[in-house]
Amino acid sequence: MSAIFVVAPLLSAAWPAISAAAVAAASALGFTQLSQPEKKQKQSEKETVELDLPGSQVLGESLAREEEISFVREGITVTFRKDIRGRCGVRVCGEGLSRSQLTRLGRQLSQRLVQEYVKDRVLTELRKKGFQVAEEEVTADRTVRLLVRKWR
Amino acid sequence: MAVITLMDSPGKMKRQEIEIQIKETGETVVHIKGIKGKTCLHYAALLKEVLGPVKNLQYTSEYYEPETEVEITDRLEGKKRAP
Repeated sequence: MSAIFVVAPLLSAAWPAISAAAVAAASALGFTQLSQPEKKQKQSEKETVELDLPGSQVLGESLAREEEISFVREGITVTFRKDIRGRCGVRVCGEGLSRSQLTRLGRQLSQRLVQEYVKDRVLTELRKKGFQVAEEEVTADRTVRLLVRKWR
Repeated sequence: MAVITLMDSPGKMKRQEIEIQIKETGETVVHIKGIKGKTCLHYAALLKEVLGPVKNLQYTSEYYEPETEVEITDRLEGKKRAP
């Protein structure tokens, strides 16, 4: 053993990286990506909750405009968004679910997004250093465990 | 004559591993294994830069071990005789 440390990750990346993590997170939970026009029609007059993604900061040239990406599953629409200040959030709306149920789903998706983002960032950087994934698993408490290895 | 050789991995390849646990809350535990000294620091700094601020850092005994190992070989050399 050499060192152990704990990090509270920051979502600090350009919108394409964050939206890619959103696609992976939503797909993992059974959501399908929506086109923009469908999203506008389906979100009207439904119970809606909005949550911020803590520690998020979008970087890069896309900062000046708002961005959104939406997904649907069984009448529930989830939209990950970025405002003009670069803050990210998630909007969940759907019929037949209470606000607390929608909030719980929004939190679950946000957490999954962060996991996907961290996994992608870490593996991208460590692959550049010659590491390869030796083990990958999701444990019972939904922790993503990665073991990367190299020989020298 | 004693020959002292500084070797990074005398005789065999060494395994370097990093275990990353990304919890549901996003909190990430990084465990760098088999990597000593400055190289360990290098990877720790890289991952901090990529992920964000570190909440808790703990070096283990291996961190303080030297990165290089010393191999000492005794060698007998024949002397040339004067004609």
